[in-house]
Amino acid sequence: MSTSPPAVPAGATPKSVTPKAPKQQKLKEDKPQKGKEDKAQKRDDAGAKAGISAPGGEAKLNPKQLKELKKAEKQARRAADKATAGVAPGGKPEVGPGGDKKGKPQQGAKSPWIEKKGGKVEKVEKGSGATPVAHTGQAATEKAPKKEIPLFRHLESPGRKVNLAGSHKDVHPAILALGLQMASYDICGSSARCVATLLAFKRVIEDYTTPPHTTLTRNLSSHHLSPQIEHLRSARPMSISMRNAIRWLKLEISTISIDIPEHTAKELLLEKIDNYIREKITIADQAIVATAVEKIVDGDVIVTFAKSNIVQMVLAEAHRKKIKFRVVVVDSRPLMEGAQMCQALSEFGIDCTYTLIHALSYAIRDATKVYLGAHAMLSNGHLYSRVGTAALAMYAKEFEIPVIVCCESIKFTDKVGLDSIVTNELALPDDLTNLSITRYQPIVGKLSKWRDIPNLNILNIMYDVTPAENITLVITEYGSLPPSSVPVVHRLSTNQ
Amino acid sequence: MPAVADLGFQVVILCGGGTSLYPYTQPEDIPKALLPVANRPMIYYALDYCEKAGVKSILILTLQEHHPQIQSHFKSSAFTSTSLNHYWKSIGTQIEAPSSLNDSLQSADVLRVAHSKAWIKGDFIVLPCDIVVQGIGLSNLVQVWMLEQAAFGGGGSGHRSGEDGRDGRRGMLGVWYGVGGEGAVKGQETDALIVTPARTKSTQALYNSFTSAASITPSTTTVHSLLQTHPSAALKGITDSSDYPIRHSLLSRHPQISLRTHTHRDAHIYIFPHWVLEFIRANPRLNSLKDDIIPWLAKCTWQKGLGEKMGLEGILTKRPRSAGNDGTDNAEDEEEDFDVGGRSTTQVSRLKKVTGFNGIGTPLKFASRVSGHKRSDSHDATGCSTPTPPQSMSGSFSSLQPLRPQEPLLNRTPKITAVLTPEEYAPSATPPTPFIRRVDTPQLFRETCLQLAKTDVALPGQPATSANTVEAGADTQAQPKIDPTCNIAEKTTITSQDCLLGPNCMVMEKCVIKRCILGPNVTIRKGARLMDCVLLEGCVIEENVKLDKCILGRGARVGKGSDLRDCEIGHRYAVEEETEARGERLVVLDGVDDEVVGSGWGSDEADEDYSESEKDEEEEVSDDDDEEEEEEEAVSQSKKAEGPSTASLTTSASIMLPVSPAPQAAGPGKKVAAPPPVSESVISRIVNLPTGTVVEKIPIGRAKDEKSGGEAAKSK
Repeated sequence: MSTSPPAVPAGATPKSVTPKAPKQQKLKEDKPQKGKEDKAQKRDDAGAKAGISAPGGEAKLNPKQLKELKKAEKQARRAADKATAGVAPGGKPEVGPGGDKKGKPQQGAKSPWIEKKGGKVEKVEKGSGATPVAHTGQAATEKAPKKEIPLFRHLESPGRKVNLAGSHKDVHPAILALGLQMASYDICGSSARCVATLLAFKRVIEDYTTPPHTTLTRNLSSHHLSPQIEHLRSARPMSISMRNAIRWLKLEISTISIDIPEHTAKELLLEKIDNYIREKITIADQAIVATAVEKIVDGDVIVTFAKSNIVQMVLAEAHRKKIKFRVVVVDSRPLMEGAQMCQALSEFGIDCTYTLIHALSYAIRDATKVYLGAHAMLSNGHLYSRVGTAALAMYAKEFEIPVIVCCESIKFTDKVGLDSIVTNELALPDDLTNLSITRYQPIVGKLSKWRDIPNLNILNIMYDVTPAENITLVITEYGSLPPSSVPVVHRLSTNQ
Repeated sequence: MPAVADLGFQVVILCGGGTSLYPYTQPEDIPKALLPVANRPMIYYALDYCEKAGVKSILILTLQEHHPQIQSHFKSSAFTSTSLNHYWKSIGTQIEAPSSLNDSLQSADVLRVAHSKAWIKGDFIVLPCDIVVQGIGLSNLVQVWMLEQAAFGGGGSGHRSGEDGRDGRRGMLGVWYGVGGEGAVKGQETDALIVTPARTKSTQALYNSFTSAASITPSTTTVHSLLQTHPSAALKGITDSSDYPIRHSLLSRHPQISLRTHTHRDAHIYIFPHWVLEFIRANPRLNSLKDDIIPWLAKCTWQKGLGEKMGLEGILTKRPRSAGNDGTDNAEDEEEDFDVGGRSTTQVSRLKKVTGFNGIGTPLKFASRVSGHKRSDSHDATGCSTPTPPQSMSGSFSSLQPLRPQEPLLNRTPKITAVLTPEEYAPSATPPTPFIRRVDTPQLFRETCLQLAKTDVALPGQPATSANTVEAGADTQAQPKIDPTCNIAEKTTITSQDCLLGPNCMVMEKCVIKRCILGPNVTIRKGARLMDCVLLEGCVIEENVKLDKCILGRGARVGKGSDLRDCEIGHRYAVEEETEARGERLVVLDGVDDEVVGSGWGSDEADEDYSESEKDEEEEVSDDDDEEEEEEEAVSQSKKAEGPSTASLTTSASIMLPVSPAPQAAGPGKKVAAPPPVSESVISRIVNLPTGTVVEKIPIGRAKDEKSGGEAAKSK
């Protein structure tokens, strides 16, 4: 609690700038995980941010107000925890202003949390009469016992609805299907999602006709693609690769000359998409495989985590080259992606061992190399990948085993991440409480009633960040490089 | 209707002749599609179902003799004044009655005709016209289909069929509904089916959320994979003893199965990918979707070698280009390379033994592929609609093909997703059980009508006044159950929550009406007691009549003091005064009047009465005018209720077989009580003469022939 005053203004004042900056600052402070107090405080920041923006963004009032708010909120929270019934019935006055604020996407994503806190704040502040009275209708829709992990409450709620009937009317069937398949993790993994998205967009473009009085260049990306993108985003937060691909696609659309007839323009776009997938994924994969396979020698014991298609390709190619090696697939619940890879590899004739992450110390013992796939490579050289990867890399570092990351440059981002808290994705807690290994018929575990237990929270996050120090080598289609060269490659690949 | 996303499916509504609904649908009379169910033409329910899901294209296939009537109905004021009109106008609709269609053709034959005429452009949904669905939206079904069957990567629904069988996807979806529970009709048709559970995600998708902790209760509609199905009636043929044979190969592939013999019925709601049309074309001996296509395709998913025999290999691997497609889909050939399914971390990829590329050699591949692509583009640029010659295409592709290993056909055969509603319909359950009924027998017709009268859900075809404000909430606001134009005398009891009274009904004093549906212009005179009855347009009930569980056709008339129970009374039939009848079917027989010339008393009377009643109501019933002039013969026909003979078949069971080694598994089938042989039922034909009654016995076969063009012509 004592550290809070310096943190608060820092978090509150520059809010009109990009939201990234303050959060990172905060996170640096929070990172060591000082326990509940700190987490609570962090949440307070967020709450305060929302609260302040309401009166009109007067930064000067902040420190005083914030302190009050924090105290009040904490009390409220404790009371709420005791009562289990949770949130005060009162609504959230801050919603409107918070939403108005620049309309930043991240802000929007956070809104459910902010709203709730707003409600609490309002409850205390009522005495001052400063805040407008809330609309109760919205409060009713919010379920009373909402569970959230304090440290991760800024992330988007995982309880996404799948509902075709509620989709935007312009959303293309291919996107509807893709959204469902992504929300159910049928299509999972950065490159698969990227390719699937681009293919779906091909379908969208094929079926697109420019409405009268406008041009394809002006209409397509802004009016026609944006609902599609929004739909995909609502199905599951977009992967870095998808974002990169979509950014590229929009750029391509905007550079199409207005004079080109629509049919030709569409053909051109379709061809460009095909070429893009080929260049950025298919051919890139082949280049990476060609490089990576050279690193595998007879007698290697290769440890890998979960499933990465590119790693799988490397291993398969090494097997085709008659290299004698062994693979240890380390996996984790609930997605059990490693099992898929293990099945494919063992059917292919590769000597495989399958284990879960709790047996990591055993798995790493006779390893000679660690091959990892990536969800994204961050600009500071850190690897953002399936949760559990970092632990494996850490072990490998400890045992002085080289850690090799295979990653197409499409997954590179200019984002910087220091920990797996600022950016992450929450998955459904129910996936953890369901003990079924197969995804057929759930086995309802003892924790499946977790929503009714007030002091129980379940955290199911998707990703973690592996520090650059633990990574020996990154293999991209541009060649092998140390993690520190990631920004260079990123610049290379985007400025082409 | 708020704007909904296009699901990308074309809906094909099959409007058959409705022979099984005899005597309420007769060839020269009202088509089945327009028979009022709870005072709405039957087809409205299908249309409403499509509207809610935002379907953008509907194809109605009907018989030639019905075509003009259906066609004109959609132009008539009866339709244009409803809320459906706006929807109907806003989408692509097509009503077709090809000359090659006749009553003896079955559903698959009809689709074969439609396919040959290239009316079906892409993936499609088949609906029968006699379906009533509440509580489970078409979009939810499509949602499940997309999750289970849509191809990965741009593979929603549409006209492209390049991804068939990839990742074992792009199969079908069907709905089977539980026949039990409230308003169950005994002895109705059921289907036996063997299913294996699908992923929980799919069931959750039905309920619009992956959040729910998959609490599958008995009242949950669940998603399965269909392995085998056939009509329950065929159980007799399969099971000579009490055993139910199950193939080893089925059990070895699907150790966890559940078998239902008499609890579910095929709703005939199918979501089909386009290749199924090719399959239908390739197998001309398969006549019916429900009895042939679905069962065979289900077997193809586990029986080795069957798919090859049925020609699935060619259908799934070749990319069929349906005529009339624009040239856009040659671009899809390129997608062959982008194996999204294999890339996905939650799917098992198939690694090929052969080296697909050899490191350095890759740029060459790239170049060659680009050239192939250019070639296909040039075809496009020329704008010719002729498809690319398959030789050149496959030629250029054979070099690229090894990129994807060829799986054995069995593993690629798309599955059939089966959505099973709970066995029992219980409106009060949580979550509420969906209400699905096919209305194809008079008993089902009555029960369904009464059930619909009870629900508070708005029935389709609201008057257009509310349709314009429909966005606001006509969905939730049910229409008044008793039409304001009704004339109801005092001292009459009408249970308003489960009765439905059409416009201009007249009910005189001291009547008791419970759980009844009265069509427009029905007159009920003093002291009548009606329970569980359905009265179509223009019926007249005289004084002190007692009706229980009866259906009265249009313009039927029941004489003073009659007491009828479980009776089906045909159109324009006049029941004599003081008649007492149980379980009889009283019909005006048009077809046999030549044989019984001279005994025209009943019919004349009936017709006169009817026209009188028309005048009474001051209402034009235009459809019937022509028929009234015909010389008609009133012949009443009483028939033993079909119920008992099949009622004993209603054993139901779902068993879970243990994961057991195959050899042992042959026996443990579900024991099915063999039904008693259908009793030599005899239809006695009673010729209604003023002097007395002549009873004539005719064998059932002949009676059926008279009725219609044979039972085989199932109306779909």
